Amino acid sequence: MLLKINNISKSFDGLKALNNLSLEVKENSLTALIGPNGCGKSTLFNIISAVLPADESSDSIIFDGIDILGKKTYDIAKYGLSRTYQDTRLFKELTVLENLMLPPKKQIGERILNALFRSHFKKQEEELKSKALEILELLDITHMAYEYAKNLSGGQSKLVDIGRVLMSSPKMLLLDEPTAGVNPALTEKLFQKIVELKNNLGLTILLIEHDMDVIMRAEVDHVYVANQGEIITHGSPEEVKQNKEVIEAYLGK
Amino acid sequence: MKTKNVIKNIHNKIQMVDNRALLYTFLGMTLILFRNLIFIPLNIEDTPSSIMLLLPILLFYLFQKSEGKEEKMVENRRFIAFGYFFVCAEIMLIQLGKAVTAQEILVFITFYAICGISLNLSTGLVGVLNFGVVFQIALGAVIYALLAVNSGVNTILAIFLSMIITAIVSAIIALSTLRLKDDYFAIVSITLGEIFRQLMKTEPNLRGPIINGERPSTPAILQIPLPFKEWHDTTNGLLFGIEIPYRFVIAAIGFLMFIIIYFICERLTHSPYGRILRSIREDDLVTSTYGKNTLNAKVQIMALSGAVAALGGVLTAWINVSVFPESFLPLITFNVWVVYIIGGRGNNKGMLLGATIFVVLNRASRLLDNESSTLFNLLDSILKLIRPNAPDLAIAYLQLIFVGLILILFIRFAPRGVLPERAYRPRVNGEFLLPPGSQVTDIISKSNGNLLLSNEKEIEGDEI
Amino acid sequence: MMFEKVKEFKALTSTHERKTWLSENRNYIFKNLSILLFSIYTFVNIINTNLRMDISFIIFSTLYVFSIYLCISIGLNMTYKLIGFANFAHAELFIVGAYVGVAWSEIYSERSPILQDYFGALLVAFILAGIVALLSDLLVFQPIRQLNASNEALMISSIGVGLIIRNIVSMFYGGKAVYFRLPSSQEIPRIDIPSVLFGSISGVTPLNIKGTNFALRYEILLALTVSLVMVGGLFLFLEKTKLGKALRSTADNKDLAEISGIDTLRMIRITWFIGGGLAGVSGIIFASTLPVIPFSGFLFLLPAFAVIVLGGVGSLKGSVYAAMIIAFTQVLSNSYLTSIERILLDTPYERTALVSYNTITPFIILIFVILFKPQGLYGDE
Repeated sequence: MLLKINNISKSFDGLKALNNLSLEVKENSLTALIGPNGCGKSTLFNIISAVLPADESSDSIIFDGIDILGKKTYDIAKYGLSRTYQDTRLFKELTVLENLMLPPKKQIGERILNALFRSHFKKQEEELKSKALEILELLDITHMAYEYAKNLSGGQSKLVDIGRVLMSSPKMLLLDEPTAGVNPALTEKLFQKIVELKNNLGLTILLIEHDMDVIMRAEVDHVYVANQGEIITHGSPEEVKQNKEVIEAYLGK
Repeated sequence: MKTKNVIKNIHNKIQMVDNRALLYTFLGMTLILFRNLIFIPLNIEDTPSSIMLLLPILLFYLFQKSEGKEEKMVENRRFIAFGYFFVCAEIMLIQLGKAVTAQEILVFITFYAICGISLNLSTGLVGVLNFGVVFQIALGAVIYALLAVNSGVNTILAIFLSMIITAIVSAIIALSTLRLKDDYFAIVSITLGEIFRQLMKTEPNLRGPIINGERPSTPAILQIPLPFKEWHDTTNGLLFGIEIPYRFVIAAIGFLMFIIIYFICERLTHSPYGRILRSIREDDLVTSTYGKNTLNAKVQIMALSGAVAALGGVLTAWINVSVFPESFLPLITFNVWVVYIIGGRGNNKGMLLGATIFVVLNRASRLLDNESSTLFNLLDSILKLIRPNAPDLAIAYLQLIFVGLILILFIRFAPRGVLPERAYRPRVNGEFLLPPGSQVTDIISKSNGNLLLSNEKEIEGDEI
Repeated sequence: MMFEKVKEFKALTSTHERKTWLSENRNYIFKNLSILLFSIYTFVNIINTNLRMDISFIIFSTLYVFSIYLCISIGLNMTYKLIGFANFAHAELFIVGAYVGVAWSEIYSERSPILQDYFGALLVAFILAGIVALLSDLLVFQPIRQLNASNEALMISSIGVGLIIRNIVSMFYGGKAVYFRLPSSQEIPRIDIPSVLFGSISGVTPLNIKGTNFALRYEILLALTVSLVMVGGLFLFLEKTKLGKALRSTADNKDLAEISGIDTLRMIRITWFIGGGLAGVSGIIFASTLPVIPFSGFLFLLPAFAVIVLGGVGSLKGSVYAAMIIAFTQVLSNSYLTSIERILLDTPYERTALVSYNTITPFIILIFVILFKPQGLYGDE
């Protein structure tokens, strides 16, 4: 188990968004977390990446053997856990290439003293740039390399977001609704790309998804269904699809 | 072969809007400054000299090689805007027939350019709104003056110490307020200047020089040692056969400081560290999600901006030969903000440009403050009509209203300023965008094997 | 309760547990620490023989300063909560009100001032400052908001607005101090309040009963009444009336209010008007006893923000308490910091103005709150 979430709770002003939620993600799997809107999926991601603090009653979040609950946001990325945000927050005034060159960890020249001597990081910049261009090529958007992120279309932004997250050489990706607001054709392409990248790079992916159709695919290994801050069931896509509670939760809302 | 590269290099550099803008500015400045030396002895009428000022604009249009209609249009718009400002100022100066002392203008340009860079570091690069520029300047000035006057510390050491202490104080304030909303830093910083100023007025420990163990009764630090003063006094500033007025010396030192700071800041911006800073400006949360300690970076930059502002403070101390509370009014923060907004967010060259435009306009408008200006008298009479007891119109109020208008209008219509942040975008065959389906190898071959992002000598780009 | 807490803390052994406990009990620690520090501060002040002011001065100055802070902060709080940015031009709305008073005196300069002048000027100040605030939103802030501009852009433009207003005022009145003339305290029937330690305040002949002096300047009483009535009226308005409730829901959640059918644009405009009007009222209160210069508003910007942060942005009740706390602390610090210096340094030198350390007190409070409890006292609501 690469990621083990144990009994996480989160309340906002008395409203319990997450209620003793536990979940496990197997290494190298594509796991999905689905559930109706507002059931706490994004909140869970925010807690994992330490954007929000969990309630005191929560147990732990073990990633690759380390308990990351309570650590700071910028520490967590070091362990190889990267995430995207639901609203695709690219750096608007930077070019796509610059967007991609930020995530890699431990760059020389990231400290203020080293930054003054260009010879220190010259070579590294070249390497980063070619790596970024390769990733762009994998996503078929090489030609947008020097475009400002604000001028990209919605679909292209999503692709760049994925590219950006890959640049940090993660072991595991948390993708928050990567196909939200994207037309069906691009959804298909996006999903295929995600699977491709997972297989080629040996990643583990935990995916938040809203759309049942996306989940009901062979590539998805395991599905967790959440409702009102709790996991109501989990299993393979087929099992989950036929689960009565799940159908209720989705239709009876 | 090498000279050809150099020429090509210079040619490429002139293509860039920023450099063209600066060159034009300096050419215009030269015309103003040496107007007395060139035109008047030759008995050239004033009107033709205004026309001569338009020549550089034409020259730079000729140099322009932007491709694409839209690009040209945007570039021209910006160019025209500041060119207009500049020409207006020059015409005002000439019409009023008063000579504006070159050295005054130069010395204040360097001061505002340095302060502009300080603000650019904190606000333009990282996105932390700093309304306490005058506080950092005042702190730097006071510490330098105290060390130099009361403790007799060597000038260079005093400068360094004041930079370090101002940096530390800025960092502490940033550390305590930036942990939460950035709003809080803005709120706190706007009042720091006033608080420090009050402190200066009443705290006897902030006065100097100490004569016979007695502190002076006036809230000021006087008798600040000036650089190269003895040389200037003895030789009357004789250098290469010209007698240089003392102000020029200070301006030259200021300019040297600016150049050093400029290059340091450019280095920082074009590095992975600079990339982190700009990402923080765009989206703090996402940057920290990718493993960068954003609070540290912000605090470091605030420290650096404090150090730079301290240099501005030292300049102020030299300009006034003293340090007193009235030289650190909130007005100075607003002036630096105008320099920053006009010049361009994120663009250090823009700070120099903004400083030039601002100081020239400021000085030129000051000359309106007399009886011969019809517009001025009209405004004065309107005022007295509404309130008969109104004091005589002072140009200072109009200037500040203008400052306020500039702030609002620029934020609304041109938030990126005249010289926007230079994008690191290579042109490949005159095009920014590569055709779809380009392979990585295509890019490499088209860019002649040069993949550097931050030191693009042959492949320079302009911004749309 | 405190002993139990201490025992609890001592029972924890690991650093991690202790850290958790500290963050859980932060509120409690903050409240008690503040009360403790404040008590020490007040106590030292009172027993200090170098006290330069007597108790009556402290009380009445506090009430007066409280009135000013109250009005200006509630207005600022409303706009900050609703629009979401710190409006630096609020200080200039204050100055608009103050100069309305000055102008009123000038217009009616032929006759001697009467008490009705105060209320007339008050009304005009409220309306005029409200209109100016509304205009600033219509002309400057709304167009920028429509560009989806960030808070930064709004803050910068608010500085611009402030500059323009302040300098237009300066063009008319110059930088010299001007006054809002009101009837002198001799002409108004005195309000007598029994007390044991009251002394006399300059300008008022105290009424002497059985060897004790009683006196109170009427402007201070007016200030207190006016501010309490206005703020009380505002509270009633917000609680009871339909419009008030709509305003509150818009401030709480603009999108939700929009969906519920409230005309949020109208709510925003009304909030600006009321906020600005209150600032103008505090300007009149200020002008009633103190000289007015164009920069007077700017000097109140910091205390206003300190009050809002201490009370909690969005909590009007919090602003009331915070205004009192900050007013009291500031008035006390006048004497306290002078004396502490004399005790510690033992250097006799003349002090030209007490204003310096006085100004720094709200700043220190602001930093203290930001560091330890940035939501303020009632910010969680």
